[in-house]
Amino acid sequence: MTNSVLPKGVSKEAFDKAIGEYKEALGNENVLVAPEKIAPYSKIMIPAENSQHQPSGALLARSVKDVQEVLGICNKYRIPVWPISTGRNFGYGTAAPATPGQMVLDMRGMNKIIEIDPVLCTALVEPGVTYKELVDYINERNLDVWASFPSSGGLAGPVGNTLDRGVGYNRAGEHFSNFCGLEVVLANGEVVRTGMGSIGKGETWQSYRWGYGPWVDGLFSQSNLGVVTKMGLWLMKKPPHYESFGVGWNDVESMAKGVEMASRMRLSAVMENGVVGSALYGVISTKKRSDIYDGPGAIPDAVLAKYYKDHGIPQFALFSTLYGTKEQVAVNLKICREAFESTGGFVFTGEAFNASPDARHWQRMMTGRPELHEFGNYNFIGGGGSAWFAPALPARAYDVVRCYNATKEIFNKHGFNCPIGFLLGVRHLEQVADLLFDRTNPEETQRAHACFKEALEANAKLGYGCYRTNIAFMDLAAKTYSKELRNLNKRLKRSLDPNGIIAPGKSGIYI
Amino acid sequence: MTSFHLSRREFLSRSTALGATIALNPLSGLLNQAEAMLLPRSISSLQILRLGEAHAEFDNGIRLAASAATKIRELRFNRLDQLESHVGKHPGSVIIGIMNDGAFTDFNEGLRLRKADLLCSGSHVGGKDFTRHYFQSTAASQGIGSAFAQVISQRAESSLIRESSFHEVLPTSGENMRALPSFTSWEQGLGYQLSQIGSGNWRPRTVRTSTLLGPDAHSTSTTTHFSFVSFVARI
Ligand SMILES: Cc1cc2nc3c(=O)[nH]c(=O)nc-3n(C[C@H](O)[C@H](O)[C@H](O)COP(=O)(O)OP(=O)(O)OC[C@H]3O[C@@H](n4cnc5c(N)ncnc54)[C@H](O)[C@@H]3O)c2cc1C
Repeated sequence: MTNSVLPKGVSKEAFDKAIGEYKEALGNENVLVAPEKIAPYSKIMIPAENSQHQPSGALLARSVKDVQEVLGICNKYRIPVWPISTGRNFGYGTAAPATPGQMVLDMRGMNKIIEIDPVLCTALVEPGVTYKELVDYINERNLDVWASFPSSGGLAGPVGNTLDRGVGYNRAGEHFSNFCGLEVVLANGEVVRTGMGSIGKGETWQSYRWGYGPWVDGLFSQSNLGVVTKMGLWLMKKPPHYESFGVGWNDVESMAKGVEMASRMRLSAVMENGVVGSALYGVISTKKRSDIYDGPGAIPDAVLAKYYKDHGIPQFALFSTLYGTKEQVAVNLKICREAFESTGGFVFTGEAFNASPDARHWQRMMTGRPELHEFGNYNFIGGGGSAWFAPALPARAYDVVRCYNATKEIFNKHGFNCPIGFLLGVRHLEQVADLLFDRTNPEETQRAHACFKEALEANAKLGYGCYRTNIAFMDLAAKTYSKELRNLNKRLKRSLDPNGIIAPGKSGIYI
Repeated sequence: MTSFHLSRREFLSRSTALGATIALNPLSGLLNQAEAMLLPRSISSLQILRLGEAHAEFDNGIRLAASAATKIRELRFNRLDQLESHVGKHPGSVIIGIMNDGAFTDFNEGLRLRKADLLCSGSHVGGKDFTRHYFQSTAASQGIGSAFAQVISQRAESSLIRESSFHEVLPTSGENMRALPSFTSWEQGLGYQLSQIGSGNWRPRTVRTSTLLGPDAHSTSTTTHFSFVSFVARI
């Protein structure tokens, strides 16, 4: 019994031949085509039909040589492959490809932590390493470093997350600014090490990012120009002391001022991290919608406001952790307290901080302890639907209010609530809204699709592009960027992967 | 593949017209002989896996379909992070599970990691007056949607049942309705059907992409009171 989806333009005979060759290269057990084996690769949460993203099979690579051989066979038969590292891109498409009929190239089996240098706080890892493996490795050896990870916790991994320009929460939380050096297999099978990795032993591969000549590493992120097989990471030095604090606000305007203030605090190196959540963002991970409201559509603001009031939850809250010596932390905390109080926020620390499950969750995210707390999001509505809507915006109060209001209005209009997290950078933030919906309901799924589309287009019109999007909206998101940029991407694609075998459709890029 | 939007009565009469034997009268747990022939033979050990709450009705359904010789191990977890590692510890066994959506997201990754077979999964939600069920089937569970519609049609509930398949759909004789015991709840009926899939005694049925029984099951949105995922996996 074979899967019902063949790669586009590939006959059944050619596909069967290719499968034979994959098996020879990888071993029978590492080539999966039976539908029941591929089913776990096909689980998506986004508002799209499964058939639009159904893979033809999965290839489990265990070495760089495996990857090279796979790409050779793919070129021979023109079979597309969708590389995943750990494949836990939940809410963005999980492990499934952008278009149907691709072979998922699963590198979870390549999971060596090649080295960690605790002095320079660097690591070199393979794509299949999970954050849990990385954190366990660090803890078992009692190393003086912390990994930064997303709030999907230990399940996901640094290579996939960083390549998709994901976000974490400690000092090294902007992951794409905290990797150093790649090893990439190009579509023609050539293995390239970037930066200082391409000079002999490459002693500075993980410590100096820029190498010599053009810096090409960016070409391999959110793209389909190569398969990354090693990545250098910059870890955070464990601080001698840390202290977390929260700030609560009860209206959007004050919160937005707070976000701008957080940027100022970061620009002056007082704060090094921060996340702001709407109250609903915290509520969805521990409660069910029916605990709050029983009517159809979005839960009305008045109902939510009453719920927050009854439970003593501020409408918006910022969480941050200050690192340093005791003295440094005390001084910085004092500065932050005064700064955020001036925005109309109330600052909470110590017992008040620890009393909030949300606050404790964010503290763990900021201090090297991954957890699965946020998976509770999927029980809020039920039915398995979730898509992250994530425009990037400047860290100015004006933009925060504008983008938040526009997004919330569109979500509400389509009958959805808008739980939002603002992931604070230095000069920008990612406004990440979890569009939760019920996939058992086809009408609601269509509505979620329409909602996502409208939010994406409306935000682009306001000047806020998505920093990353799910596999169903990659083409549309690409179209919100200029034709010239898209043409450049296409030219790069054609020159590096003339047969278009690597991840067609990733970020809307095809040959 | 076909899509049906039917009243309960229409569903039953169409199924009869297809030549099915309908045995929806209470059978007090007894099966007719033809069905009894299909009872589990090959499987010697079945694991029922749960995270958190018990689902006694679901478990009863599994037991109802499993032969006396089948050893059933119940496993109950309270922590999400215990699940993934569990999958690796019992190679060669069949797991029938039920868990909330958040936990299944994680558990599915465990299945992928172990190259397990996911024979069937279903997403189930329900509100005051309706339930919705969305199955993803494979050859080993083809037609679970129409079979489950038969279970649901025993009861006066509004339901939307959908199925999408991962495989080339197998031809069937057109026969969809089988003799079934009368179930005390649809959860019991679900356990029963999944138990048959898990024991390899499933005969493929017509895939109906959508069956609507009664009014409103599809239009009532976001007022669900429960939601969970059921599945059969072979590891
Ligand atoms: C509750 C919850 C909270 C979340 N919170 C966050 C968060 O805080 N921050 C965040 O960033 N995300 C978050 N996510 C989204 C997601 O889970 C993470 O981004 C996760 O790290 C992505 O999955 P992964 O690491 O397994 O990457 P993968 O799925 O392996 O990779 C992501 C994509 O990168 C490309 N890619 C991967 N590997 C390669 C390779 N070797 N070569 C070439 N291309 C490749 C592919 O296109 C792939 O689809 C969250 C999800 C959930 C469910």
